[in-house]
Amino acid sequence: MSAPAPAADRAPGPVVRISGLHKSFGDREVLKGVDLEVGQGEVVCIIGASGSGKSTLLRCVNLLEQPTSGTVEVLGVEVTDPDVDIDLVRAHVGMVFQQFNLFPHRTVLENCTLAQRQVLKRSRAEAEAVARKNLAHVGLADRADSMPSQLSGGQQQRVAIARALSMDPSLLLFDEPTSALDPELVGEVLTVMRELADEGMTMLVVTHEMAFAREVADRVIFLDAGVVLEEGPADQVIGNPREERTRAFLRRVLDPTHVEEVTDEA
Amino acid sequence: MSTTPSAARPALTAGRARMSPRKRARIVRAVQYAVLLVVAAVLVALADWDQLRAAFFNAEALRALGPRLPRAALNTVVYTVASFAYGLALGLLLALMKLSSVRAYRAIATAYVEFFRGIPALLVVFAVGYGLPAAFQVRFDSIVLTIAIALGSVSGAYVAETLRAGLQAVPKGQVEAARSLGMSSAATMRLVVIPQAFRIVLPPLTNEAVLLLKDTSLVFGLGLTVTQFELTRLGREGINTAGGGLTPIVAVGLMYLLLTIPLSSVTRYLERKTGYKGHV
Repeated sequence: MSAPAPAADRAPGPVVRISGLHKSFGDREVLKGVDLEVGQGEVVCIIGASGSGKSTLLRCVNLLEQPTSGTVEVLGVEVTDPDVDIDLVRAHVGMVFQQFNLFPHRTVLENCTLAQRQVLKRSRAEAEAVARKNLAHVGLADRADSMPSQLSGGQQQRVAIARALSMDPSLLLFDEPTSALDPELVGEVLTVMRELADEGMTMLVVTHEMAFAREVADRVIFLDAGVVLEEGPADQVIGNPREERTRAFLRRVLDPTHVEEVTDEA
Repeated sequence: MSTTPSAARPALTAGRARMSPRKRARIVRAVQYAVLLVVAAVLVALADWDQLRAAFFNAEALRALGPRLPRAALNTVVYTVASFAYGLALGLLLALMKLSSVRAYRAIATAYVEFFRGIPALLVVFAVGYGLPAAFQVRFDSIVLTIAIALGSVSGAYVAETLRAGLQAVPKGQVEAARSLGMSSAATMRLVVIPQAFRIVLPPLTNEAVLLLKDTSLVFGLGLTVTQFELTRLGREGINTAGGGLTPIVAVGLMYLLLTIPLSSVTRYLERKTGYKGHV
């Protein structure tokens, strides 16, 4: 491949740099020109109403969605360039999904070793050592031989995080990681994510957990109808938003029973 | 909620005088049993048991045919396995073509499937057995190969649809998870999608094997030598040579059941195990 592989010890620069990103599904334009940078070690949370394009934006970072126009640069590599081997970049970018997406036909340990062996060509012994270390990290060292279906949702999501971590990623993408969980299982996943943030992991997180975003995020992005409407430190965007639409969104999220008299948009 | 009771609605006690629906159902069921018993009794009284035994279970015919049954059953199994192997390979190729991003491949696979699902299998047996040799002066040396090509070509069309459905039934999130870890599309197919699709298609594939086993009877239309006889051909010949009326047919029919019923129960077992609910 002619494209440079992302170097492990890169020169300092943004881990993600998105500029002028547009994405349409058919004639429905979901992203209408998004610019976004995520720096080394930064935790950025993306909030916004459903349908605002949060997940699409996240999925454009590792090209699970192909942008319609604009550029996406990850670890110094322009992934929107068709000559770039996207598999090479993806191996450095972990992703955690709303529905966990563990491989149901493989044990927990195998879930964490499959891509290590297949993509990174690690030996079985090395891959298993890395997998066990990361399973211990998420508090599931004793479930290595379980099948995913034997675990609770919270445990499955923690395995998914361990699976992503086992690739030694430089960036983790989280797509509403707690939205499919029973309320009492949300905490264990957020705790793991908080620890990762404290350890300096670079994270881009789509979430509805405002308390988590406020506490953990360095920066919060409010996405509205396909554009970044407001962006800034978590305390400011969530605690004291400038935009009326941000305030309206936060009122709905923080107090779902609150009945608004304002005219509903769209 | 507290609306006034409608006038059309009968009072709760109004039905007491008439027969209750449950009591009526019980009586109807008793009548049905009675009819069944009467019919059975009449048949038993009127039947000529000796003639029935001679027609269905003629001992002489069984003795004449019996030694040849294992060979014919074995041939049936061999023809089935060969046809299924060819059909499975062809079906996998067609399924992957149907899922290809190249439109021409999709069109070819669709045309193939529609063609072979739409014509009688017997026609294909004749085409491969007689038509091809006559047209191109080629002869398949092996009868097994001839049969495998004929029945496998038809079966492949059905298998293709089953496999395509199975591959598509694996959730998209599985592919996304594998790709997001940096796995290539080929590795994702091989390590993540196909193993899961295999579990999904196992019950319908077993069912296809049962259908194929019965379809091997269609090769009676080919000029088989005596050692190549499968069960149906043997039964057909038995009527002429062994006699005993229906006895040869009953005998080979039982042999079919001996083969198909275990296969069918494997299907049911797999369906229970995988939670698959489909056509049977």
